Amino acid sequence: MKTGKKVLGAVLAAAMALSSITPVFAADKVKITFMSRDSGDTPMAKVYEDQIAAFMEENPDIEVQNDSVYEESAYNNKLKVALSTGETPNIFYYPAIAGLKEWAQNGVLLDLTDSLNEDEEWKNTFLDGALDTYDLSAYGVDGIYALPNELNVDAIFYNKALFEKAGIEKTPETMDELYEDIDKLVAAGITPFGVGGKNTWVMGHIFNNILAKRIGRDGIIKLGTGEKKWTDDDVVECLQITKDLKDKGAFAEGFEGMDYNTQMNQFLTGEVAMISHSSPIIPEMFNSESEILDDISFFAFPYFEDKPEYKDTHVVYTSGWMLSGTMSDEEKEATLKLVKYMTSKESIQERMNAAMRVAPYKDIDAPEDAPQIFKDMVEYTGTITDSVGEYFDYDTCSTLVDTSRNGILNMMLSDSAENTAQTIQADVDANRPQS
Amino acid sequence: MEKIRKNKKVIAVFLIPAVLIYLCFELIPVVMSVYFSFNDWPGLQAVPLKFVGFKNYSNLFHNAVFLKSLQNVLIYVVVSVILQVPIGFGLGLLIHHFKKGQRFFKAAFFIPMILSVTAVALLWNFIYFPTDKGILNSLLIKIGLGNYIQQWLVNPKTSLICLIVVSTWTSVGYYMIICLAGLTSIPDSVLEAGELDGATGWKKIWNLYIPMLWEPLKMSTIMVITGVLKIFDTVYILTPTGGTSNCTIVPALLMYNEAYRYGHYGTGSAIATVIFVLSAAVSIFSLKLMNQKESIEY
Repeated sequence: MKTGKKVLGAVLAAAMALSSITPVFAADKVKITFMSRDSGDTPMAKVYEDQIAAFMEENPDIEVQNDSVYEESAYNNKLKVALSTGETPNIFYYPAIAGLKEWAQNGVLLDLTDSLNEDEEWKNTFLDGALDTYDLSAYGVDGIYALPNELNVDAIFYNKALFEKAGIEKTPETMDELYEDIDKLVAAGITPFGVGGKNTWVMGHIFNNILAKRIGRDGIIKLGTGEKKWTDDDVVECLQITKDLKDKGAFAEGFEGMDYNTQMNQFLTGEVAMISHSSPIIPEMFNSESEILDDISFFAFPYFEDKPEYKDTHVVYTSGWMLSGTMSDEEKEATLKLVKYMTSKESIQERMNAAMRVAPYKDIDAPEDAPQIFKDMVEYTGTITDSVGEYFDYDTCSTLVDTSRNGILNMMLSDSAENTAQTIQADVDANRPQS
Repeated sequence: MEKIRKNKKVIAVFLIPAVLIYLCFELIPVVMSVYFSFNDWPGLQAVPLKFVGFKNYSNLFHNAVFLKSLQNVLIYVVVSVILQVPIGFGLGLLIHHFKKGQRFFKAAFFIPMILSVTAVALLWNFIYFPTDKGILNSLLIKIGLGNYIQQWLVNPKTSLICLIVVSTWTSVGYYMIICLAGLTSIPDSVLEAGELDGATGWKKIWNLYIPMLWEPLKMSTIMVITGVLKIFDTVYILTPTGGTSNCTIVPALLMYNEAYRYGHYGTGSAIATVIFVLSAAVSIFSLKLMNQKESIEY
């Protein structure tokens, strides 16, 4: 018995000694962390896993830890805790532009300008103007602080069969034509738009498109920098146009209390004729078992005939990769190596093939076997020359996203456009950091 | 052995792990939270704390959304205490009285308690669905009350009460179990003596059960109050943005938004401190109020 205990003691001691030695061997590798919103069983998550594994095989001296989290709030919580403890992931994603200012100012983010200028070939793989999205000089911090990785192109997706049933022969190009089509659909007993108003971003996206088509990119940026106010007549007018859509019967009764899943279910079962959404919805739709996929197509958000100058302004949300600004030289070298690998033509094409995401890179084509709607979307993206993101992307006021979206939902229920504009402006005045 | 057990140093050594856990995960975070509440901090390690005194508190009490959240949570607390404890204890008394099917009913009423909040929220989303396809709305239509159909979770007049109903449905099973546990400790002889003295029906409940269950009642009330004052999950899942015109916003949801969504860690900590102080104050007040009535010793 005593001998057994001695042996056990010796084994445990050896195990402890070994465990203390292991980090010494592991220290030879440079460890970097990668954090995206693609994890679990999604096609994109699988490609990321494979690409990271292939990268590590090619670079045995680098260990990449994939800390991706799919669920939005869990991802944001994890990232914020990492930032507050100084454990910034080497590569991560965050949905902001102006909101990156404080991080950039405080050295949390790496200024990529030099790295891009040193490697012209790499720099030229991005679509013209794509890198400007993350040039924060307009907000008082010189430099490019993220790499555009995906483009979420806004459009109106529609059900061709329901349009035919309502006697609509061509898709609308102007808002007046859209109003006529709404009338035709309502007359045919078809709900024009599926809207999950409970998820406030859905109405927020519709409003953002109206804003883009009435005040354009410059107007939206001025709204973000404070040169324009929410209470300005043209902005209030955009709110009123959004509210009027409800009165025209564009949305189902009770849409304010429905969620996004209900909206998608309504569209994919042919209950509603249209949804306002962006390009990532295409793989989501094709992952469903909907029987109407062949009937689905899209058209650009219509423009206003009295504002022809904004006809070609389109809403495109750019999703980017940020790099940590607190890396050691070794880590920085390894991280840039990984990010260049992930943004190589082959890697991008691989991800587009697997997950049908539109990418902001040159010479990337939709795969041959992709659904026609995705090929059309890639082609349509190539025609966009004037794009703008979410209005709050250009504002340093962190509360704007919630205040404005909640305000728009309240407006759809009962509030007036004027009151909504005043509420949003008051929030911006109180919470926009003074620079 | 007995000598070792009585040795205070040995007792202290064995208490150290528990004390350390309590310090690290309870006391220190509370103290740190209070400390953070007097500072401005954007949540970046590179940025030092900036002492601002009572500014975060002053801003909070001038913030209409925060005041609305306090109003909402106080309504939530009052209605929850009125509903959860009496319904829970009422169910306990009924199950105790009617022996038939006791196991089934105990399990049936307790199951909501062990369900995840997400599952509960999904279930109630179907019930509160805003069109005539919603369970509640279709039921109203079927019984001829179609005029009363609502967008339950959107309408400012109904959304808060809808959340309270969900919390009540989830929690009553727990207070039922506390009541049943209390009932088993009442000696039969006491109840029989009471019955011989004419205590039956409501008299029995009022003069025997309630005084004898006074301690569990007090504990349950405090648990409802402290639980509701920090309520977050039910509200966040059913009305993620705090409802139309902030009609369901509560301090814990606001605290989460301020700290994690907007990067206002000082304000978030100030809200956490207010929740803590409020919980302590309301609990002490309730205890004092309930201590005026003595429980019966037997």
